[in-house]
Amino acid sequence: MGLLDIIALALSASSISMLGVLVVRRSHLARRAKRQREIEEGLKGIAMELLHAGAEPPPHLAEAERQALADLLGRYARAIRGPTHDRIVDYFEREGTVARELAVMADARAGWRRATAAFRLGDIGPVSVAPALAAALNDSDRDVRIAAARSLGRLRTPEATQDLLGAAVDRRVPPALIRWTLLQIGAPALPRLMPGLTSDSERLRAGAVQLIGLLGGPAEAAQIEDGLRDRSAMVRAQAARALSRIGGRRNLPALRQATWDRIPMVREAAADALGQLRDRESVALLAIRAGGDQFDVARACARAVAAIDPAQAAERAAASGSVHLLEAADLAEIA
Amino acid sequence: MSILNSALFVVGVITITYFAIVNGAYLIFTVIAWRSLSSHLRGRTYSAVEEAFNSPFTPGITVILPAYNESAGIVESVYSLLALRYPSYEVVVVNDGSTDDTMERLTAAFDLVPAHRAIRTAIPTQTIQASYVSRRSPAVWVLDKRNGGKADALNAGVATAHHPYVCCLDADALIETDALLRVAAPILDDPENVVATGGIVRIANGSTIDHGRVTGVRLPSNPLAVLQVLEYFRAFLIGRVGWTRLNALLIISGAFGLFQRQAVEEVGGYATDTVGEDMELVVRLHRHFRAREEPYRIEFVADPVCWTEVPEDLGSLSRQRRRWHRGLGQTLWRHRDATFNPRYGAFGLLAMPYFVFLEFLGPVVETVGTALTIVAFAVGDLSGASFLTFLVLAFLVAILLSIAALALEEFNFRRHQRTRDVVSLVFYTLLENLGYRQINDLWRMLAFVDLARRKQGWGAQKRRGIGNLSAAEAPAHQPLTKSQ
Repeated sequence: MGLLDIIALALSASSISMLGVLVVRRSHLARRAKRQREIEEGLKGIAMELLHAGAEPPPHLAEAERQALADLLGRYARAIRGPTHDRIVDYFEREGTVARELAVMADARAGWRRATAAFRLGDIGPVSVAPALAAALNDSDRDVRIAAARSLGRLRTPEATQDLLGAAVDRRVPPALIRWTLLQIGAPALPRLMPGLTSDSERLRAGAVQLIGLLGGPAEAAQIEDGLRDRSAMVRAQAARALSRIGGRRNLPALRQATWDRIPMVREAAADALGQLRDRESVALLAIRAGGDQFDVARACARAVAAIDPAQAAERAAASGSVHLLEAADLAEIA
Repeated sequence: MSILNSALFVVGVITITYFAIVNGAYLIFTVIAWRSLSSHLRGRTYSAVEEAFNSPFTPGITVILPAYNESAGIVESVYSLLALRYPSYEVVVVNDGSTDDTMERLTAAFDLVPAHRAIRTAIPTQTIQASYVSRRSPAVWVLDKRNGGKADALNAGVATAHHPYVCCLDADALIETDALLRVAAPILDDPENVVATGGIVRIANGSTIDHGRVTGVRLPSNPLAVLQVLEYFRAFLIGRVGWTRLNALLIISGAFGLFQRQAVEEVGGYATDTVGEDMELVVRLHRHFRAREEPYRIEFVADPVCWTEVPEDLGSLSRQRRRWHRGLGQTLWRHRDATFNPRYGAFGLLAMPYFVFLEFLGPVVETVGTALTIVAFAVGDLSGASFLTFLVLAFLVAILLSIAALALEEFNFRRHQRTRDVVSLVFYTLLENLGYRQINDLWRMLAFVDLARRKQGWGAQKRRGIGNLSAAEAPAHQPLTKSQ
């Protein structure tokens, strides 16, 4: 038998074995899905009893049934809060699932197993698992870190705020996910975010400003206004955006000043903020900028004028012919 | 040794080398794709897609839909876009000087009224004669412009985009509801570096479509369309996943791509003088960032799906393949100085040479090689056994690669739920090497003639339109059985 014959045989064998695996796997998956559906169907009543009356599931459940019940309750737990959710958490603690998942998250060799455990703990775990999840933000596997961050958001534990911010700054977890997580934690995270305003890290300062803008209120506006004078344009822009939500009349002079910033992104954010805060004194200035500034800044200025006074936007658009004002006026009319 | 013998020997060596390299590369990509897809899809379980949907920090996207004589399906396409799950987006339809009633249908369906829209001047386009906004859905805008081709229409959309990212689509493409969220996932993960992403294109012929959504995935009844299903599996699940790993992905399908608007503006937008504008833009982005030594990533994402219709007759398919190959040739020629240029890293040293020698010149080598193998056999230079062995090997490798692509699809996505569809696909992996591949090579060879003649333009395209009835007119289930 020559080399080419051997190659031909190997190729044929590879194709046939791949086909064989494909067929076996397909039928296995179909059987498993059917069985899973049947088990879950049978367990729905037990799950409902547990949720609504706190009735303990029967002790004689087989391993497959226990697993299916855990998956079922985990899915329910994702959608509910309050006493019903607490009942699910209690059940999983008593039944030992929480301890098992914690052990898997700490010791499993396969990253996907640790990630699955971290993910599940967010749905079925008590608040006491938060330190373990915070530690998992340093896991070597990215999926584990992401699952842990998401679970910390579900558990809403403010103690994890610093760990989460650190993970965002080091890019261990996508910043967008960290911001969502901190939003879930809500106002209790605020005291732990405040030190971030004076951090040496530009990213951390910008992140803190952004989140305080979403979670805070007028009491934090003065500190956020300081951000408009930060050396980083990213921080200045975030400060302007934050003030559009939590700012008031007191912050208007600083925002007007920010419309002269040398970085377009900051001017754009400041113009948007003045529009949101309905600063009538800025209309003339914004209308002029709508006719001559860089594209995105001009568009933001026009949008702001229309937000403050749609009639003036239409008048000034007709008088100046600024296409940004014309667009903003048309949109205001349709809205 | 006669001249004929010498020529046969040289061509034989070239053909066998080509055969070994192209199949070797594909086998390596298959292994990369297996690892990469499995890990990506496992990670999808823990990925925070729902969280991104609910986050106020998710960046806005302008979806651009260029339309030239798309009256048949444009309304349905826009309806399907309005059903997308994404926190902040607008739809900009660019009517590129249609001569049918595309504009009238849009106006009636969305209650369009004239409205001003500011245009950036960084990328020149044909004149935008008017812009309209929908009173029914203020996120829908229509730009009515002079005809300038698809690239020009996309540029017009980019020039007026309100959001920092632009998603460029084909007018007849159907995007799955969460596809925008999924294709944006790499951007949410790494907004500072990811400048473009693309999703997978799947074939909708034969599937059930209900109100602009594919509700039942079926294989087409037309054999040509089924053969293309296999081709798309190979191209997307193997090729693009592999090139993404090397950050040397050269093609983001024009049917579904997401780009950082500022990056597109910086490189001057889509080129209007090529029919391969999607690839050309991606190549330019690579060169731009590599030349400036700025970190960047261009990624293919396997799970966001765009459904499209494919040609079901030989004439339409041959025109499409000639056009694609012409576009490839134009792009490679325009950027020829990047090939083997170490300044451009994996893009210049691997991807460009691969596309020049294996993709662009591949049909020539394959066709000439096959023809001369037959000649060599006929004149007695090649024994019957060697001839047969070569053919069998070529056949077996091709089958293995197709089955590997099918297995990748089955293991990771399982979109085709019916067992008989999968059995059909297995049957077609055998069939595609008996004529279809060869005729495909011939069509691609004809593109060389088009290139020599400096042919421009897309040529006539026949379209029935996916889900071409408006929501109000559509029956509950509309099977897509296209016959042209």
